Amino acid sequence: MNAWRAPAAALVLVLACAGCASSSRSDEDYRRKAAKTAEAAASAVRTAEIGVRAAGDGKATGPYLSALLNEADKDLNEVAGGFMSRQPPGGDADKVRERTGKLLDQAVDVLDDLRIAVRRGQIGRLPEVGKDLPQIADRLESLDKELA
Amino acid sequence: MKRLLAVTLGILTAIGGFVDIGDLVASSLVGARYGFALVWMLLLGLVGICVYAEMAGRVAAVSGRPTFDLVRERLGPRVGLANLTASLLVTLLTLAAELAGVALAVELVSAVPYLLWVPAAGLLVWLVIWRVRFETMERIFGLLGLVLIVFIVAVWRLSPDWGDVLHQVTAPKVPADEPVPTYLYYAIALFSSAMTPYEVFFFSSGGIEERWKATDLATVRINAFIGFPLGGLLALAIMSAAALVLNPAGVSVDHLSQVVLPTSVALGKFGLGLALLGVFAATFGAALETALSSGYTVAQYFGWTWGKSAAPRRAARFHVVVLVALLAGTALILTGLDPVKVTEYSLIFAAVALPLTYLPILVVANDREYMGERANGRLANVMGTVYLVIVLLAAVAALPLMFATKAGQ
Repeated sequence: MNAWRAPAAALVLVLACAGCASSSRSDEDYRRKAAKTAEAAASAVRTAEIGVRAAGDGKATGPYLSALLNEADKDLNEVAGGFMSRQPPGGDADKVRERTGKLLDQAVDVLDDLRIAVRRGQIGRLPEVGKDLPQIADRLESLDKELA
Repeated sequence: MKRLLAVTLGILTAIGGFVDIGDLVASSLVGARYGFALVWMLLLGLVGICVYAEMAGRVAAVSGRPTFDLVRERLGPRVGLANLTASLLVTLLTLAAELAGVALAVELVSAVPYLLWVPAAGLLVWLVIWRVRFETMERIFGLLGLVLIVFIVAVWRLSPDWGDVLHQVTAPKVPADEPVPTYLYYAIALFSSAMTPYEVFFFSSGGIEERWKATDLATVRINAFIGFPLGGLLALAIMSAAALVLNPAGVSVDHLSQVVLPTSVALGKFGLGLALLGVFAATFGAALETALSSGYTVAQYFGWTWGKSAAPRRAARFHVVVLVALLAGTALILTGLDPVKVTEYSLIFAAVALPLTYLPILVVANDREYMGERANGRLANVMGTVYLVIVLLAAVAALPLMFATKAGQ
């Protein structure tokens, strides 16, 4: 029985580590993580953008949009929360944090509004609420390219 | 005429029954991330499953013995037990992911959180296994899964530049911003989604349930060589739809809702509805198969009476294993684990278990004592050996790549 314990514990540890986020030790490392964050955030925003466009064209149902936008919002909040909880190691990282944080805040605000609108059944309002999505996604993608 | 109808139904069932949550997630995820650059890997996996499904089906039809029965005999009880443990864990993970897939499909129609649907999905799967005849069960969900053809229609409606698509398929490149290890990690996940071990366990055990004989070899081959490739076409369409809609937008697939998004874009609400029905049928059908496969592998290893067609009183232990597997799968998803991550991990762990599944099939398919003149010919052996080398490479590389890429991040 004891023979199984060590490999089992090692497997659990290794699996846990496979999904872990490490801390940033340098400004360069912090920039890379900011780029990854911008990329993941852009993915959530683009998902919402495609969904909102489909809603505007009458191509998607309310329950489907509700799940799609809710998940995009949740993903974005996780990505933003994870990044903002990191300690910027130096002065350059402070600037990266400020720029990335501002953009993430804008994205979170729009996706929150979309989630609320769709939950209230206001499908027709989605294109209006989400009109800034393409611009926010463009800026996130530019930031990703610049920092990567 | 009756025979033709049965064969046609068999093919349609194999097409519809080919796709499961692993194919849905892996194909869409890879299409969104790499465009058409990994189509070759899907095709490679597809040929592999055809080769080994035919072999396993032929062995079942000629010798009357299913895959796991042979695994124990050929590998011995100790290695057989290790194989059973590995295969069962992978099948349980897959079962959990399929149940989540059923629940997620219902959530996308009802807007009620999927976790509330998971117990109902588990109960319904058990009821179908308990009450519905094997052939009826297989046909209903296989045929319903055919509505995934909506992805083929969606690709056609999206009007891609076919020349460009062909170029990307025939001259695949790792995207400049993607590390090679991550590309290989997803390549293995995709390969594994096509060659998942439970598919051959179910295919061969199902053959025994349907009382295949040597005279049914034509049906076995038609299912393996026509039904599976056409089923693979559905997986290819799911990948292509993601490559055309999600890849240009830079969307990474983390949810089932994103898998069906291209059908909404291309075909509107009707297309979306059909895609959701197809996802429901495909995952429900695969949940039946994985739950039964859990029972098949355990019962065949221990030499218990097994079979869905066997009366529960005669095959009590088999039915208990199926029930326990369903409860375990349901409980796993109810912990709140991300179903897409569960699917990804199940594919990588399945890759590790692949050689232990396929080696005994190749060995027995060559054994003239069992197979007589139906033993493997030269072509089957060349293909079987080549694929055994490929699955060995995939098995060795799967876990190191998972850790090196932080599970494809």
